[in-house]
Amino acid sequence: MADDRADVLVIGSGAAGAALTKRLTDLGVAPGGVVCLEQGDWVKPGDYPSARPNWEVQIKRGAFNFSPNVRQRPEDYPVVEAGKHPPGVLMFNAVGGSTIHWATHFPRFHPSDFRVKSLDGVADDWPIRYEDLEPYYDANDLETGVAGLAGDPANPPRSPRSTPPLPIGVLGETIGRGFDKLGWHWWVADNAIVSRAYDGRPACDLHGKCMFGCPIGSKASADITYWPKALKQGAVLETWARVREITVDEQGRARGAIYYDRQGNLHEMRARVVVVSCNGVGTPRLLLNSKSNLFPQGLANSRGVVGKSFMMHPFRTLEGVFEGRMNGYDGPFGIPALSQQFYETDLKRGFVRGYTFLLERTFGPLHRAWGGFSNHPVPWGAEHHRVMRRRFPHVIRLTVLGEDLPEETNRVELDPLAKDSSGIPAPRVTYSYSDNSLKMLEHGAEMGRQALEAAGVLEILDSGIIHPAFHLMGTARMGTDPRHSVVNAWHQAHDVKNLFIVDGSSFTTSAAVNPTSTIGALALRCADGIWERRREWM
Amino acid sequence: MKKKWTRRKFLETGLKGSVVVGAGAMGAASRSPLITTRENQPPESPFARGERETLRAAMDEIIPASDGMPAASEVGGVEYLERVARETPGIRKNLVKMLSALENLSRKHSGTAFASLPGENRVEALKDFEVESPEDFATLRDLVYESYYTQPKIWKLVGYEFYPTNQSGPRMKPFDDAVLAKVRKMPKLYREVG
Repeated sequence: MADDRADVLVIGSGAAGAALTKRLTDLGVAPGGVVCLEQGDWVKPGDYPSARPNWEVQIKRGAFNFSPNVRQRPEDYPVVEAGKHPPGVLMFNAVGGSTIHWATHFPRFHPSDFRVKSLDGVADDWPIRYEDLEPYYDANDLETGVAGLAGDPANPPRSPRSTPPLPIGVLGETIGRGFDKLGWHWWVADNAIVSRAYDGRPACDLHGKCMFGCPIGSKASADITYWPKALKQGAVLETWARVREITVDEQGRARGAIYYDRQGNLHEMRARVVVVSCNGVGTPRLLLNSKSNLFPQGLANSRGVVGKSFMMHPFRTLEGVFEGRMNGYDGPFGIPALSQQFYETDLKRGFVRGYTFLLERTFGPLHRAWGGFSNHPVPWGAEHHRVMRRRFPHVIRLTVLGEDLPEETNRVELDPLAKDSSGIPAPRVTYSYSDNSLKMLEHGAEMGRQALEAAGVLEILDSGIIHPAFHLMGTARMGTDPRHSVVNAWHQAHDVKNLFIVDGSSFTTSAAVNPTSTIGALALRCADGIWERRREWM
Repeated sequence: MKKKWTRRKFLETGLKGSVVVGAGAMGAASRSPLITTRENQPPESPFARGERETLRAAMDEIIPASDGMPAASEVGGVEYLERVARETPGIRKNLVKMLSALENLSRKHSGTAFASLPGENRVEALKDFEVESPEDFATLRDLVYESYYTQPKIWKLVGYEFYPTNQSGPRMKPFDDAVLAKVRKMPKLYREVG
């Protein structure tokens, strides 16, 4: 009987799914052998709101809002948010996933981030080391196109960046002087944006509307970096394919996936290997929805670990108002610079692990009037114009991005009531900041004030404790012990030998940096692992 | 697209009944009872006449003319929100609810329509609304801000250059790595792991 199974079925076409798919085609999977199912569609460059005068309105509503609960596009699913600090879950469902609207911050983990238990006595160690991932970081950088500068003393040496650093503007130079005055570390940040023509993509033209779409292609998103090459090399990508569940055979191996097409018809795609890359909320949701006699608690969840240890990065932002114009809306929204002065653990601070300062840009006048990132609306009435003139465009934004430690009580489950438009149970994400995180954020706010004052700030607008979930991590974590992890060092599910899970859910710990660079590197490595052991299933 | 009032349209509307022209244009004694039906409206407006006038009066207190800047309605704020309300029924419904709440507050405290109040009383009514219904007030405020700060003439006045992505972007000084001179001399900051 002819075997019409795909070699590898990939569910999700974002940063991980795209990188893994393309890598498999590089390695030699035959044309048609890798099939990706994506519940969204391609985003047409002409649809991006970044060319429209009311682009900032998307911050509150519209088809390009960052939250699926606000957007409610047909391909979105509801996310129920709960806990003492309900996470505002942000994601995008399309070819390219959340890289469609990300801000391109592209730092790497530190070596210590893979050894949190051994070094600091908390959380767990990853089953891999920085050195295991380093070649994949390099490979992912080349595919992505990175602007930046090697030589940062806060990070291990790395290869020269694809293109030179992007301009940091008055804003970057001003805050840099503040850090210099204090003798603190800072460095021009790596961003997944090309500052020169690279790999057929034009140089960034500095519009600054990156999170609302880059129709010219300078900003890296998986739909323009990995996918065109993967498709040219024979990968198959099916859009409007919403996976309902992953199926298993009598031996408990993954058999394939059942999915809805755009018209709501059900199909089954069978494959020798199944890879799940649906992000740190979508992945546990799919696994928990994939119940069977052999896996009554959900696929790969025999020990109840799937969905637990949800991590996002503790987050607090200070907006410093300065005398001079900072023009924060000019220049790429990827961060101009960062500081890792407080990255590594120092117990004298009163908490473990640390944080990165992101020296960030701002949006335009409407967002400023609404309150900016610190949620301080410009007052209405007689004071309005005076205060608006004082604040716009005079703000530098300094964000504390802290390391989140895994806590089982922070979790993704299936909501008992909410469903998507196909009737598939929606995820419920429960989150509360730990005491460690709250102390870390307080420390970061105080140090941030010192840095802004050293730079000459007039007034500081502090967001206080906020909980946006830009980064979704930890819910199908890597580890050597199946009691506390879902996948092993090669992203292979402990329970299901031909099931692989790679995306932010794989993270054992969160580090204190944006995750996308690490997600891409992990995906490339996972592909290599699948290929090296291909005789087991192909 | 902004609807322009022509003289003909204005007169046609005026002939059909009492007309509340605009905040402060007529004295309170000559002001007609508030009309809350859709008579005497520009046919496209999603708001009743009274709602429209309440909206205009409220938005011009939220963003007044001062410091060389125009008031919100002077740059087409009412027309902008009419368009948004037409496009998004949920917003229309919310705005009508908020304007009605503001109107009720005004009548409760001053016995008269919001648009008929002197300026300082309108401000007090808005402050009361802000205290009593902070979320609704914030929604109204933010919609007024939206109607204002999406206008190119306001951008010019606040010194903002839009740079849409279908045109050239700003010119910026290239990165000069001399700014990192001090940091380069720092010792290694990351922890080595054996």
